[in-house]
Amino acid sequence: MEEKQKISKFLKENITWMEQHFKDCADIKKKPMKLGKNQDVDCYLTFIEVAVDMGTSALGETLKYLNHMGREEILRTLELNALGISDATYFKTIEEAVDGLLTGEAILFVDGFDRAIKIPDDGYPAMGITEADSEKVVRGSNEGFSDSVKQNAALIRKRIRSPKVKARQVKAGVRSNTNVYVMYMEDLVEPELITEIESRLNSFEIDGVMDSGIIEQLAEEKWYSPFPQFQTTERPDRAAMALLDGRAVVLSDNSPVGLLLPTDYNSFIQTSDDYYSRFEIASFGRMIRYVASFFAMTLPGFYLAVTNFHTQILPTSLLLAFAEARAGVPFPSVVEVLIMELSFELLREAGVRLPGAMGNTIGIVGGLIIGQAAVEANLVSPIVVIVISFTALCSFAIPNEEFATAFRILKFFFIGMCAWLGYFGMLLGLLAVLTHLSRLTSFGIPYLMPFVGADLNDYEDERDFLWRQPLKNIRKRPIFARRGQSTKLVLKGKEGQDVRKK
Amino acid sequence: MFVKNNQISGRQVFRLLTYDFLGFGALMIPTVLAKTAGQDGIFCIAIGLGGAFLFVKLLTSVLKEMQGDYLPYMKKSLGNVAGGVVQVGYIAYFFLLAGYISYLLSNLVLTNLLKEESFYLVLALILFLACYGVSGGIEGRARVYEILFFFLLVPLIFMLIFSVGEISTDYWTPIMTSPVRGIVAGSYYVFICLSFAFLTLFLQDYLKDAAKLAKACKNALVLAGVLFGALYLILLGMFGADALAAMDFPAVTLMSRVQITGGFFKRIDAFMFGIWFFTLYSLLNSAVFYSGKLTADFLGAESGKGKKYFYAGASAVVFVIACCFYHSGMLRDWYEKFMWYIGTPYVVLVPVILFCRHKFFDPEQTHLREQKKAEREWKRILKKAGKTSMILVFALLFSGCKTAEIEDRDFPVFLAVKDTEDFCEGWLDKKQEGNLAEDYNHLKVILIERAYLEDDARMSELLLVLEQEKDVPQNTYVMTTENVDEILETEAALNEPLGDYLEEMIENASQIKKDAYPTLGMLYQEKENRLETLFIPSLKVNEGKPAVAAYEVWKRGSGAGLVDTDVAMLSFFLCGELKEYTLKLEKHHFVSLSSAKNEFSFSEEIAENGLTQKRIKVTAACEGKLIYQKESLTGEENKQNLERQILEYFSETSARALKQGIDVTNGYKKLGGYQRDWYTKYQDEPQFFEQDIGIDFSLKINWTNLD
Repeated sequence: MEEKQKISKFLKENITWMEQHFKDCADIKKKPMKLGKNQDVDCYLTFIEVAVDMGTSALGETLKYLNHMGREEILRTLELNALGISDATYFKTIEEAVDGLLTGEAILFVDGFDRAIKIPDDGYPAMGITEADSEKVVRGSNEGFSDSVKQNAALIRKRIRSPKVKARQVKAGVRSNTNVYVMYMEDLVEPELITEIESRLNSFEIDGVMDSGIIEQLAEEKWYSPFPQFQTTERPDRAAMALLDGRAVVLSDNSPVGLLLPTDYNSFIQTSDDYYSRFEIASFGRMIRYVASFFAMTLPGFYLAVTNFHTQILPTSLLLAFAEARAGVPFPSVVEVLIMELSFELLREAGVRLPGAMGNTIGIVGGLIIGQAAVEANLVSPIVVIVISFTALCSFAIPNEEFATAFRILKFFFIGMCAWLGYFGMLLGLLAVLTHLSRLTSFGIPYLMPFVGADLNDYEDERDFLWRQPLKNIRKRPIFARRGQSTKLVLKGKEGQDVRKK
Repeated sequence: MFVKNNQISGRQVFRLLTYDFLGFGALMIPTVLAKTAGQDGIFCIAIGLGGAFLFVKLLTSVLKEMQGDYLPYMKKSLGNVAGGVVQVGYIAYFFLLAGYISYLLSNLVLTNLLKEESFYLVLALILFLACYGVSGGIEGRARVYEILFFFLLVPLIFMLIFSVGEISTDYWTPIMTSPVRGIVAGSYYVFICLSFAFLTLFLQDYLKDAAKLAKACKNALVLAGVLFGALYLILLGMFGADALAAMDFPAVTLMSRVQITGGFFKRIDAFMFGIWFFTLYSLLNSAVFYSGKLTADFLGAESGKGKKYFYAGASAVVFVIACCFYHSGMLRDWYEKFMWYIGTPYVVLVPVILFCRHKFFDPEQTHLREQKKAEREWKRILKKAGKTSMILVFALLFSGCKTAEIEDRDFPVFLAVKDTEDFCEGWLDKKQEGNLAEDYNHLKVILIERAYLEDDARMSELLLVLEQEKDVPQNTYVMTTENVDEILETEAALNEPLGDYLEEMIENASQIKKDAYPTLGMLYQEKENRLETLFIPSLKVNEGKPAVAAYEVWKRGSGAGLVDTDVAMLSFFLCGELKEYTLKLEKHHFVSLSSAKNEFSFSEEIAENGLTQKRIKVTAACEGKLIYQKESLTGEENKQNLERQILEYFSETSARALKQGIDVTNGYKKLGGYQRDWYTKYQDEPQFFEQDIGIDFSLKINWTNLD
C-alpha cells in the first residue's frame, strides 16, 4: 500500500504537494493568502471555483473571524477546533485533503499547523429537489430525489427521524470516487443483507460511477435476465417505506435514482399511494397493474396466435371484421405487428430524447397523424393499431420503468413465438418466462414472492400482493425484515391497550 | 437472508404431486375406465384411490425410517450391488416415462394446436424447455407449479362447473353391471396413475419432515381423486360410456363442447388445452429431473454445475425414446404393458422390500459407499450432446411454420351435403376451390339432404370424415331438407349468410333450448352409444326463407323418418328441453306450459288381451297459463277440462309417433337408470323397444292465471 503524505507544518511543502496534484486544473483555485490582524500568518486556500461562495458562506465568515486574531491565537483556535463552525473537518494527509477538496468543499492550509481544514460550503452545483419524473402518484408527496446523495439521504431521514436509520458510506469508482450510501434501519434489516451489499459493491472496480444504474448492473446476480433484480425509485417516501420494511436503500451521488433491495415481482407492481389510498381502490389498481403486466407482454402475440392459428376462439362476426380490416394490407400480420411495435418504440424513444414540449408533440403526431395515415394507406389494419395501443397502455400502467422494459422486450419474444407456433408458442413462452422468474432471486429472496414461498413468512406477505388488505390487517412486515422484527402495526383500544388477538 | 438450500415446502410438494397425478390420469383414465368398467368407472376411481392411500401409508413408514436421502438409504438397506441394480431400474422407469409423456404431449400439441408442424420440432422445444426447467433444481420447479396451481386449477374447476349443465344423468346408469375383471382392471389403472406417489421417497431429499411430506402426498391424492371423479362423471354424462370409450382424449374434447353462457369466446378448447399442457409438462419435468439426477448419481457426478449436463444428456435420451414411441405403435403398446406388469409393480415393490427389510432384518451400517467423482470425459461427451441438441433445435426452428393469413382464408359457416354427390370428393374439391384456404372452425350449420341422412352407410362415412377433420366444430348444428338447392337459393333473399341465419333462427327465435338441437358432436356420440332419439330440424322454404317444417328422427344412430313438429315438440317438452310449450286446444283456447319437471316411471301390466305390456308413465309437472280464451274460462271444472284436453293431445300425439316407431319420452336412454331388466333385454334387440311399449300421461299443472 502506498504511504500517504503527511501534512507538513511548513506551508510551502504543502503548497508544493497540492500544486503537484492539481497541476493544469484551471477550475481549481489555489490562493496563497495572509491571515491575522497583522497579516503575518501565511495560508493557502484551495477550492473548486463554482462550488464555493466566498461572500456570506461559512468559509467567508471563518476567514473574517481569523483575520481578527494574532498568529498564536489563530494556531490555538485551529488546534482547539474553535472556528465557530460545526462542520470543519481536519485532515492529516495530503491525500485526504485532496479527496476533501474533490467533494466540493474548500481546503485551508495554515503555516505552522500540520493539518488541513475542510470548510463546508455550497458544494458542487446540483439541480436541487424537484418533483419525481416517474412513479407519479394520485395521493402523497411529490418530492423526488435530487442528484446529491446527501440531499437524498436527508430526504429519507426527514421521513424517518430515528437514530436507527444508518447510512454507511462507500466509495465507488476508482477515478470518480463517487459517494455511495447504503441506508438501512439498524434493527430491522438482516445484517447479512448489508454484508452482502457491501461485498457486491466491493466486487468490482470501475473507473467511474455516473449513476446508480452502473452499480445495479455490476452488482446484480443474473446479468442476462431482462427483469431487474434491484428496484429503483425516485421517491424518498418509497425509499423510506422500504427501510421500514427491513430493506436497504443504495444511493449514489449524481443520481436521482435510489436502489431498493432485496426486491421481488410484487414490489415492482406496488406504488406509494397503494398505502395512502383506501384498500378497495388500492387493490383494484394493483390488480389492474398485474393484468396490465401480463398483457403488455402477451397481447400482440396472442392476437397473432388467434388470427393465424386458432380462429375458432373468436366469434365469427369479429373474426370477419378482422379479416375485412386486413384486406389490402400488403404485409403478413406478423410483419404488420412488428412494424407497428417498432414504430411505437421509435416514437417513445424520440419522445424521450426530445425536449419536453416537443416530446409531447411527437407523441401526438406519431399516435394520431402517422397512425391514421398508416391505416388509410393500408400499411396496417385498424385492429393492429388498437392492439398495439392497448399493449402500450398496459406497459405504461406498470409503475416501474425498468420493470416495464422487461415486458416490452419479452413482448417481441412472444410475438416471435406466437407467429411461429401459435398458442403452443405462447404456452412455451409463458412457461419459459415463468421458469426463469422462478429461478430468479434478489439477495436470496425468491423473485416471485409471495406467489411462491409465502410460507417462509407465515403467509403474511399474501395480505399485500394481488390485493392489498385493509391497513389494519397488515400488521407484519414483509419477508425482507429481520426475523423477530416482524410486527409493524399494533392496534390499540381507546385506553391504549393492545387489541391484537391473542 | 435466505440462501438456496435446495429445500421446498410442504405446500410446494402438494402442488407438485397434484400436477404429477393429474397430468397423466386426467387424460387417460376416462377412456380406459369407459372401456373397462363403463358406468362403474367411478367405483374404480374410489378403489384405485384407496389402493393409493394404502401405498402412501407404506411409503410413510419407509420415509420415517429413512431420515435422510432415499438413494443412500436404499443402498444401505439392500447393499451396494442390489441398490445399484434397483437404481438402474428407477433410471429406466424414469427415462421410459419421460419418453412416453413427451411423445404424448407432442402428439397432443400436434393434434389440437399445430396440425401441420413437425413432431420433432415440437418435441425438441418441449424437451429444451424441460431441460432448462430442471436445471434450476427442485426449488425452481416447485415454484413454477406453486404459482401455476391456482391459475390452472381455477379455470379447470370453472370449466367443469360449466359442463355440469350439459350432463345427461341417464348416461350414468346402469351401475354395477360391469364384469369384476373390468372393475379390477379399471381400478388398477387408476392406481397406476396415482402410483407416482412413490416420488415422495425422492422428495425427502428436499423436505426432511417425513410427516409433512406424507401429508402433502395424501392431500394431493385426495384432490386428484376428487378431480378424477368429477371429470369422469361429467365426461360420462356428456358423452355416454360407449362414445367415451372410443375417444382418445375426452378431457380435451370436452373443452370444445362446453359453451360459456354470455361468453365472448366462441370456443375455448385452445385455451383450456393449456391446462393439460401444463399438467403433462409437470410430470415430464419430474421424469426428466429424476432420470438426469439418478443417472448423474449412478455415474458418480458431483453435485452442482456438472449435473446440468446430465439433464441435457437425459433430455437427449428422452428425445430419442419419444421418437421411437412416435414411430412405433407396437412400442407404445409395449409401454402400456410395461406400466401394467413391470413399471408400476416395480415402484410399489421396492418400498415394500425396503419396509420388510427394515422390519425383519437390521440393515448393516457399513454399506454406504462413497460417491464416485464425475469423470471429465463424461462431462465432455454430455457437453457435446447438449451443444448438438441446441444446434438441432435451432435448425428445426428455422423450418418455420406456415399458416395462411386471416384475410387469405375463407370461413364457411354453412355446409350442404347432397345425396347425389360423393361427399368425400365434394369435400376435397371444396377445399381446393379458389385462392383462399378453407377454415371450417366457424362452421355453424351442416344441411344434409334427407335421402343422404337416411342412408346409414353414407352417413357413417360422412361422420367419419368430419370427425377426423379437427377444424370442424363439434357444436355445428345438423339440419336436413328434401332438396338442398331450394334452401341454398334462399340465401340471396337473406341479408346475411345462410349459416348465420339458421343459427340465429335456432338460438333466438325458437322455444326449444339450443342444447336440444342435434349437433355434429351428438351424432358422433350416437354413432357409438346408440341410445338416444334426436330430432333434426327439417327445412322447407316458406315465403322465400328457410323455416323448420318437420323433424327427421335420428334414432339410435340412424335416420328413422320424418315426424311433424307436434311430435317433436311433445318430445322436447317431455325431455325438459322446451322453454315454453304452446298448445292450441278446443274452442281456440291457447295454453302455454313451462318450467317442466317431468317424472318417468316404467312398469309392466297385463293388457286386455292377456299379454304383458310395458308402460312408460310420464307425469308432467309444470306451470300452466291460459294465454288466449275465446270464451270466459275459470273455475276448477274448467281447469279439469283443459287438463283433459292436454292429456288427450299428449296421448294422441305419442300414439301417432309410436306407430312410426318413435318414442317421444326418449325412454330407451333412461332404461339403465329406471328399469334394469328392460335394459338387459333390449340391449340385444333394441328394435323391439318401441313396439313393446305404451305411454301414459298424467299432469300436475300449476295454473298461474286461473282461480
